[in-house]
Parts: sequence; C-alpha cells; structure tokens
Amino acid sequence: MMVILRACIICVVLLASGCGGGGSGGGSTETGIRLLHAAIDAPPLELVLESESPTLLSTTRFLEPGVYAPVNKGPLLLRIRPVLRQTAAVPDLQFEIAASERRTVLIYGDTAALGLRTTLLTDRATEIPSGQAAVRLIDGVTVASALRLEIGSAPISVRAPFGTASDYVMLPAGEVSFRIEREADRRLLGSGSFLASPGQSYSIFAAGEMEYFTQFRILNDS
Amino acid sequence: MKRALCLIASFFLYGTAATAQDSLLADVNGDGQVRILAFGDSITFGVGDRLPPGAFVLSIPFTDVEGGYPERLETLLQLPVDNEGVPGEEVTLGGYLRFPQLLTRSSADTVILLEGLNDAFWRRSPDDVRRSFQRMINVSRALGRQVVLATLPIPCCNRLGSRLFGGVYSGDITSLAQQNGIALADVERAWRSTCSDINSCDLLNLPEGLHPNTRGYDVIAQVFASTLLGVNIFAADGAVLLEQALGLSEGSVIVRPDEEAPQS
Repeated sequence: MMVILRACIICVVLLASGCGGGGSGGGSTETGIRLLHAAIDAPPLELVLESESPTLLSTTRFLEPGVYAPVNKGPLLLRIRPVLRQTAAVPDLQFEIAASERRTVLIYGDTAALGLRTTLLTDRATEIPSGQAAVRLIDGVTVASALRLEIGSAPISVRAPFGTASDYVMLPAGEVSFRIEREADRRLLGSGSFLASPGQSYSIFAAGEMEYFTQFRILNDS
Repeated sequence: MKRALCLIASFFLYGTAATAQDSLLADVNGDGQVRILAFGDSITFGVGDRLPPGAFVLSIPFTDVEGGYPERLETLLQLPVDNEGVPGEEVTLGGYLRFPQLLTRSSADTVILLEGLNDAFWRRSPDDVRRSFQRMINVSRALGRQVVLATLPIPCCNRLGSRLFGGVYSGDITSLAQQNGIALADVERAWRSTCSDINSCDLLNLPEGLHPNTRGYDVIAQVFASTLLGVNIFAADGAVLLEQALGLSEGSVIVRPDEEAPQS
C-alpha cells in the first residue's frame, strides 16, 4: 500500500490553454464541459450531446484527466454511454449552461451494488484575489464516505463527501503541497505538490476504491 | 538486445495492426528495458508443461511445473517476461485483488492477462469476471502500463464441464478488448484452428483436459508473440510472417490459420 501511496506522489499537472495573469477570471472564455471517470470497474465512457444529430463530445477512461469539450451556451441534454454501446450508463443529464461557464460531469460508484452515479459540478472559482489560486478536491473514491484535503504545512483543510467536490479554497500562488485522507480514520490516500499559477483554478481529482487502488490527478479547471 | 531490436524493427515491417499495438514492446517507463509481466493462474505458472502430447495424464500436481508460456515468450522475444501465475487462482477472488500491488511493484511495461478457467470451474458470474478484468485494465492504465487480454484455452474431456462458462468469459474478454481499445491474444481461436479434435485436444494433457502440454504451451506463447508483434497469426501467411519476425526456422510456428481449422 505504501508503494501505491508513493506512486500517488507523482502528480500530473495539466496546463490548460489561457494561463492568465493575476486577478480573477484567468483562463479560457470558452464554454465547455468535461467528463471525469472515477468508477474503477467501469469501461471507457462516451459523453454525447443529444440532439437531432447526436455529437460525441469526448471519450474518457478511468482516472483520465478529461478535457473540456466546447459547447454552445443554453440548454444541454447529455448522455453518457459505455464505448461501443448504445444504451446509457446513467440517466441523461439536462441543464442549462451559461456563456463562458465550465462544468464537470463526475461519474462515480461502480457497476455492481452501488451503481454508477453522476454529479454535475460547476468549475472555476469566481473572484480569485490577485496573486492567489483556487484549489478544490473532487471525491470519486468508494469505500470512503468523505475525503479530507489538507493544504500546506499549517493546513487549510476542506472536505468532500463521496461523489462531490469541496468548495474552492484560495491560497497564494506558487508551490502547493497537500495530502488527501479518508475522513473517517485519517488513512492517507496520497500526497504531493504542484505549481499553482495566479488566477487559476485547480481540482485534485481522487478516484478508485479505498483498500484496493486509489490515485489522484491534478487538473487545471481554467 | 540485438535480437530484441531486430524484433522491434521487424514489427514495423510486418505489423499489420492498429496504433494501439505499436507500443506493446515499448519501453513505456523509460527504464532502458522492455519488460513484460504475465499474470494468471496455473496455466501461466506452467502446470503440466513437462508432459508431451500422447502421455496419459489423469491429474497434474501443481508442483509439476516447467516454464510454461512466459518462459517460451521470453526466449522468442529475447525480452524479460515475469511469471506471475498463481495455480488455482480465480480472477474474481484472488486475481483482481492481488493485481494492483503486484503491478505497482513491477517495472513491467506491458501486462498480459490470461485467467478465468478456475472461475469457469466454479461457474462464477460472467458479470463478476468482466468487472474483475475491467478493474485490472483500469489499474494498468492508471499506472501507465500497456495491457494485452487473452481468451481462454478450450477445456475438454475430464474438464468439459468448464467449457460453457469458459466460452462465455472468452466472449466477454474479446468484447472488453474492443471496448477498451486494447490488444487481444486469441488463445481460444488458436485452440479451434490448431487442435486436431476440439473434443480431445492434442494441445492439452489428456484426459485431464485443462492444462496444456508442451505443445499447448508452444501455441500459447506463439499467440502472445504474434499479438505483441502485431502479426495476424490466423492469416494464411501468419505463421510464415511470425517465423520471419522472430528469426525462426520454417515450420517452427505450429498455430494453424483459420482456414485449416478442422471441422468438428
């Protein structure tokens, strides 16, 4: 288990386009949606924009850092289906997306007793103070009712119940060190560090199954 | 090392497969060595490998072991192949559970998975088998490894009772390979094309009917080698292409093309 934890220290920082300078609102102005796949026993999933002629927005594997697919503002009807299958993996999602907004569809749970579930997240923090960055935790880890993210040596701590994201926390831009624990027993899931740019929003995306296999990825939400 | 480089070069000459297979013999982790991990049960471990075709074998102790297909694959490819077979293991119980820790410790670039006939014996739910394989695929990819799935040898004779579920699992394994975009070593297909009689297959120890004999292990190793090199071993010229790719003498590859499969 320690080896797995050590492996988790290797962070993948995805630097999205539009690295803004200081101040709030850094990042792309493109309206977009991405799929994050946290279900360890589920096959790759397709995110499809339903309409008269459905459009495949993305295909995402377990733990893969999903990329934002551009969409038009307005009402959306999304279907998530396993690759090479026509039947939906979960109930369709219907919602409205505003101009320049970015959303994440988190798929989590399993294909057995829990079932696959979805949560729609709103990405990018608003009003990031100058010289700061925003960080949150996305919890897709089964066998843990909640995870806790501790940031820095005098830790700022946030919690994310299973299948949700914590609020963004603001912290000075620069190197961010963190650890992720199962809230119930403070069992370490992983730790690491990454470089946060001013004005940017980041998600630490944790997925898998506690006691079996868990990892995390660091995503740029901007 | 020279032979390994030739092999990789020959892959590009003979490879007919998709991009997904291009990196199956690549040094994915950049440690300067291409390494393969063979994961499975007694058939990976090599149980029954001492026994030639024609021997009368009712049962085989787990201690009666030679190198099985991993050792042959190592010789064919001139690359290290770690044998991680556990006799008697079911993929739905011990198999998927021991996999993450094993792979995390391993420096293998490519993992090959051949397991399921013990699950077939106990008639485990095909859904559970599929989920177990999907877990291992997801773990492999999360750790940055290449994966090769394998369909199962077709049991017969005293183990005929495992055939139905083994066939169902093989169908699901094929479907999983397609769904995940990963390579498939079709051992079941090789059994169909190469056994002289599928109901009394000369690739198995008989009448035991589960564990391959020396010839059966040759077949499995050749199927894996062809998959890793991107050679379609079931094509009319598949055996010749594999022999050329591996620098083997004519007639060394014994897997038959589909068109020569005996009708049964």
